[in-house]
Amino acid sequence: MIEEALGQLPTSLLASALYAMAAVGLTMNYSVTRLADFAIGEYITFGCYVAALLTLSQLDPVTSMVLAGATGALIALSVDELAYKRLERRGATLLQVFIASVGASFTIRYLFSIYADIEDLLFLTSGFSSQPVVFLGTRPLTNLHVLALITLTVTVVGLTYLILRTKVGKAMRAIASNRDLAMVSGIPVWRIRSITRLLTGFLAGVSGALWAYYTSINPESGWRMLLWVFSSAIIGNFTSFPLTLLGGFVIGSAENLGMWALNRAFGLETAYKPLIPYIAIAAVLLYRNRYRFTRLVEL
Amino acid sequence: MLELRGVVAGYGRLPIITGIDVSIRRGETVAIIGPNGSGKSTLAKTVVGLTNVFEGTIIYDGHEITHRPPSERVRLGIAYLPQTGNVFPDMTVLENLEMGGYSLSRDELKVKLQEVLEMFPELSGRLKQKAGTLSGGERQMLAMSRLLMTSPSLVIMDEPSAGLAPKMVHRIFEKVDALRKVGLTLLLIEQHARMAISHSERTLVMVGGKVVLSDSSDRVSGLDLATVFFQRA
Ligand SMILES: Nc1ncnc2c1ncn2[C@@H]1O[C@H](COP(=O)(O)OP(=O)(O)O)[C@@H](O)[C@H]1O
Ligand SMILES: [Mg+2]
Repeated sequence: MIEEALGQLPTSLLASALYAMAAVGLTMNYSVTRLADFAIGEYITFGCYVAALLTLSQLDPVTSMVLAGATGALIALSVDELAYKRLERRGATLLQVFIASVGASFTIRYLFSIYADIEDLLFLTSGFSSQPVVFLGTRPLTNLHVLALITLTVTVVGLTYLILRTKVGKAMRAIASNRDLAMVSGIPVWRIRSITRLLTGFLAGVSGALWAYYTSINPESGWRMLLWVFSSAIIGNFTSFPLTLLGGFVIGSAENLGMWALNRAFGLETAYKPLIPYIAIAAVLLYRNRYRFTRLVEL
Repeated sequence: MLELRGVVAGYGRLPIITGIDVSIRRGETVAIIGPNGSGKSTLAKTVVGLTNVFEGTIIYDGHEITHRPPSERVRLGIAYLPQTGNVFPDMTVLENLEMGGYSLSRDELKVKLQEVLEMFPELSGRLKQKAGTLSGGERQMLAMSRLLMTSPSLVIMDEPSAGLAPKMVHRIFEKVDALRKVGLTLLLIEQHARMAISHSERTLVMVGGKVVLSDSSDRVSGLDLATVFFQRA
């Protein structure tokens, strides 16, 4: 029993790391642009494909992952330059830009699906080979789990340093706290925004790469992760990095460990997995205003 | 140095200030007074580029800036202290000042910091403190010192003494005088109308989104302000 529960841990950790990374990117993007970018699923998908194709052509998984991140970064920046920024400069409201991001998400996904269909890439498995490192109960902790945890650690340490110590990171905090004041202080708000977009896209691309190493992918892979990523970010209130990280772990563990427990206790079908993020979102929205706990850890 | 010609500006599609013709000379200190809601803040925001301008032109130092973004106006030497939210509360005093001098190199920043702290010595001991934990007066001092980080030539202050105890109000006006002494051009919006008039060369009175009176502060100080505010409304 306990051994079986322990067996859920590796998958939970992997999922948590994936969601946490993409969600932190989403939170960062929201803090600076006030946009909960719906198209983040597409940056994840591009990360999936780049990593899968590169590993299939024998490139090592770490370099492939970094290149997947770079691709996500470029796409995220391009979408901003071609769509969101232009709309905002013409005086679009935040709701209008959000709707545009939903549109961008669908457009990119369908165009990419057509391309994938032509190239016969609708269903793809990466060239990453998973090897056990140690065993937790009956389930192995593989090199993929190790890679995911190291990547997450590097991400957290790197972002913490960026946000607290560097000029760009401080400017991000300034913009998040008061955009008008940031502008009249002479902070190059649009340039900082571009840097933010690159980082958001990079994190999305990297989590896409890890996903591609974990399972087979298709043009909807990132889109399907969106619910989990958004609920992690919602737990972080779209503003708090520590809580967003926690959110990733709550969602990642709940859907695996929690689902397993529900399945064991009540015989609940695992097909009900998406219930978990919905419950998390509902719970957070209900309780957030009652206990302003988020303020405690907001950066 | 600053010239507004027939300016109509506001928020969204709604004009708030209309028919604004104002001309400010270099080195001048101009007080802007008027009842609440008369558009003083909107005028200030229009000069820094935080409103929509529907008609007219704004010229600063020979540059037409009517539709330029705020960042460019900062580069041209315009500094602005907003009426509310004029510091980053979650950042330290030092970080606030660093943000004010964002475009400076590390060495330039050091020099500038020293210069600014000489003018505002009360902040020296509080560099590591979060701006949100400062007292009201200290916070205004920080906001004023942030203005100087960009080495501006025109400084616009929107009610820097609002909500402060009388003693602190005097300290703020001392700083205003210090800024005048170093030759800055000042636009000073104030609720403390009498104080503002006595610390300026010229006074503009705004009522209902219009400038209804512009005269030397000496002459304005002889007027009954209540009558001016009401008669022109
Ligand atoms: N952001 C805004 N959006 C819409 N209307 C505003 C905004 N800010 C101020 N106003 C309106 O503009 C008018 C002038 O306000 P303001 O310029 O702040 O006056 P003052 O600074 O003289 O008190 C007021 O009627 C106010 O309601
Ligand atoms: Mg005002």
